[in-house]
Amino acid sequence: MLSSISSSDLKPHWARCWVALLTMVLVTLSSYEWWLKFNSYTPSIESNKDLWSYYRAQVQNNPNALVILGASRAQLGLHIETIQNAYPDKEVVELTINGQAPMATLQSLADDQTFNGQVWLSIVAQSLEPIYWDMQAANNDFFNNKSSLYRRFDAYVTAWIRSKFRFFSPELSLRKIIEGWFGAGVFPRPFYVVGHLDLSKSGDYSKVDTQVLRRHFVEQKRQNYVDQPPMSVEIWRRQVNKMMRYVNQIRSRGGDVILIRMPTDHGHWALDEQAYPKELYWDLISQQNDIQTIHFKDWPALSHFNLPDSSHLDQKDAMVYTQNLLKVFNYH
Amino acid sequence: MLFNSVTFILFFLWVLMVHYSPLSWSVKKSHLLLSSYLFYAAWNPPFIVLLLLSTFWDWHVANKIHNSTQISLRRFWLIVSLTLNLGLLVIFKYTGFLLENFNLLVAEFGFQWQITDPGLILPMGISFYTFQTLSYTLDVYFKRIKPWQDFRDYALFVSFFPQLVAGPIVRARDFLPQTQKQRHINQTIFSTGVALFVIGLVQKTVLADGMFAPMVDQVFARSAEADAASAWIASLLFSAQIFCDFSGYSLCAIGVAMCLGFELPINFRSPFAAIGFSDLWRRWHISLSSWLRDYLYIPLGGNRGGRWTVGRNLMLTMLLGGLWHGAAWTFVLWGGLHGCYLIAERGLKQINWPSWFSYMWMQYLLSLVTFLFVMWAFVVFRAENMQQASDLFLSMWGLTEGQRLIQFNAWTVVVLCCFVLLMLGQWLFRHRLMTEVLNGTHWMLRSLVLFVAVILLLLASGGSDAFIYFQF
Repeated sequence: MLSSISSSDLKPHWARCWVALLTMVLVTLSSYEWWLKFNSYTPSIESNKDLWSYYRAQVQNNPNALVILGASRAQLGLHIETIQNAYPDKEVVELTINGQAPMATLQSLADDQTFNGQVWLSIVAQSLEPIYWDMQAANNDFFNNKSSLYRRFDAYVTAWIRSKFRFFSPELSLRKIIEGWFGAGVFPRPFYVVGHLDLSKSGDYSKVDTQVLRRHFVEQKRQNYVDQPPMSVEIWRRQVNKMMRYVNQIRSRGGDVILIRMPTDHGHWALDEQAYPKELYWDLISQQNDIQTIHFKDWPALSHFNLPDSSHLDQKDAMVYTQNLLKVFNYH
Repeated sequence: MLFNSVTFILFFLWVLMVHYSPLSWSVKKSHLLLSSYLFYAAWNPPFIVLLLLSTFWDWHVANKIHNSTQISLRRFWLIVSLTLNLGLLVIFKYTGFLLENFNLLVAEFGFQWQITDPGLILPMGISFYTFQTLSYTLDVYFKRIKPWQDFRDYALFVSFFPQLVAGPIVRARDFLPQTQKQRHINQTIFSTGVALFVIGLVQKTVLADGMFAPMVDQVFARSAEADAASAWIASLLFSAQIFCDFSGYSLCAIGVAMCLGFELPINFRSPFAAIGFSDLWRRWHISLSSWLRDYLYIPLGGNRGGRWTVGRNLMLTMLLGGLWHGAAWTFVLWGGLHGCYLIAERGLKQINWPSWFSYMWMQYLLSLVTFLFVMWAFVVFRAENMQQASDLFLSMWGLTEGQRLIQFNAWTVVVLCCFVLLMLGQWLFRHRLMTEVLNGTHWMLRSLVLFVAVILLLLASGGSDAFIYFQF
């Protein structure tokens, strides 16, 4: 049976219907958006594999690509605009993924014959752990096997639209509003971390209780080092050699890789230093290999920042930190 | 390309712009055809070749059948068509399944020989367009239609983008005459099309993806640990999820086609308000069930013959219908269950039931019983393997020690309320089509309903997951 429309005595008055609908939608959404703005909400987008693949495709056949790899510390601490202004001839692309060590992406870029750009690789000693090596493999597999021009374009356009309106924020989904309202009795408060279209993030720690957050992060790190004891120096060397193979692959095509150790603080650093003492692990990388490394502890200009949650930079410091990092680069 | 994507909206606006321009109908049809290929290629460009091959050979085979006077020659060309179409389907869809079972069988006999699965990608919508082209050849063979004169029209019939990847499965005799001249589209038709598209998107993105799928996935992923309540809720919600997912796609397809002046077949008519299983199959995925009826069940003998013959025909049709959905034993079992349901129903209809069986309350009860059986079959349909299905059934009946996998909070209550409303809606509109409901509602109420739909679409979408039926 075909979907034809039977004639009816009742006039459907579709024109009136659309005018009323359009008016209601515009009034409701603009009022809601205005209310969200008034209450300090900002547009925020959530990254996904398609959007990540969009940026991953940008660095192919692009000798001017400057790729930032890492996890949340690089997302929150490296100010893309500042880097872009410092290197106007480069195309700065962020391929960071929250909570995931970036080694699989380094490997993927090394294996990609079309990549010959520069990589800023934000890691800690623990990132080289064999069990953490493939954390970003899912995104890279997706890019290599499932991503398509259509999907990447759609992801970018969707994210671009979402980056313009507060009501699209992932923290304001119907589910979160209902759970917040009926569960905690409040409308969801603005989240302190905002996701940007370029995959970077910014953290406004004035919106949260930093004491609680810091305790949480330090305790989480302590537990992490209990669950995953530090690798032996022998394994570490093997992993560094593995990393260097990929670094050299990129270099052989004219690209380069620079290692960056972003700052940690307030007990977090003490735990890092206890598990992976800098002079036994990090310092050996540059001593035994031909690679540029920047460790925040070696540069007072990079180590004086207050990290509200012990692990990430506040948005007000990200730009200054990045400027200082660029000065360190120039010094090198 | 997904209906629930910004790119599709941009694509469709372009198609509409050209379609309503002063260009000739011939140019517009060519544009529609190219747009359909673009729509398909957006997913995986190389597979457009398969679609073109399927289009070309069925066109030629149908002409050969028509031009052959000898029955044996007609039959030969029909076999060629069946072999090519079903061969393609078997290669791309069932190779892995067949090899897996072959390897198991060989291993059972103690041989070490194993064939590696080539891991072919399943071309999107291959089951749908294969059935569509097959129906054309079969209709020509059975002399129900004559081959169409214009190849471009025929190519458009095979690849018309609104229904290309997930149906409704269109018949040549319904679609091709619509290509002869551009239909005048008035405000009511266009508006109804847009409204159907919006409602379809709400079904898909808000209900299926945003509300039902997360809870269903949560329980099915840990089926062995689920308690009875979680297992029941997940099973109920999956029935709602697959309905909203597939019916949502069909509504979008019908709506988009309507905006372009084409009528597609109705695919769903409140299936969960069905009373009995034959009624269900007149309401659920109607374009497939009618295809199976016309091209498989009736040629097998249909209702003719004795009890056993009819039972065999029903079972065979449903088993193949199950296999059409996917290359796994769970789909075969799902089809088998529906075959059993239909056979049992035929048996029960022979009994002279008391008059109170036609009372309204009894109709409600029978509808509920039908839904329960359908839901149990959907557990098998959704399960990734037999073990998962068995775990869920054991959990449902409290035969395993389980834990509460679904937390009862405000969101769960909202989801369950939406499920209840969906079921009530099905019963309320069981005799009415969505187009009738839309155009028969006062404009103020209609705009209010659409307002809620648009707001939900903007604020409560569950991402842009592909439609479940794309994989078939």
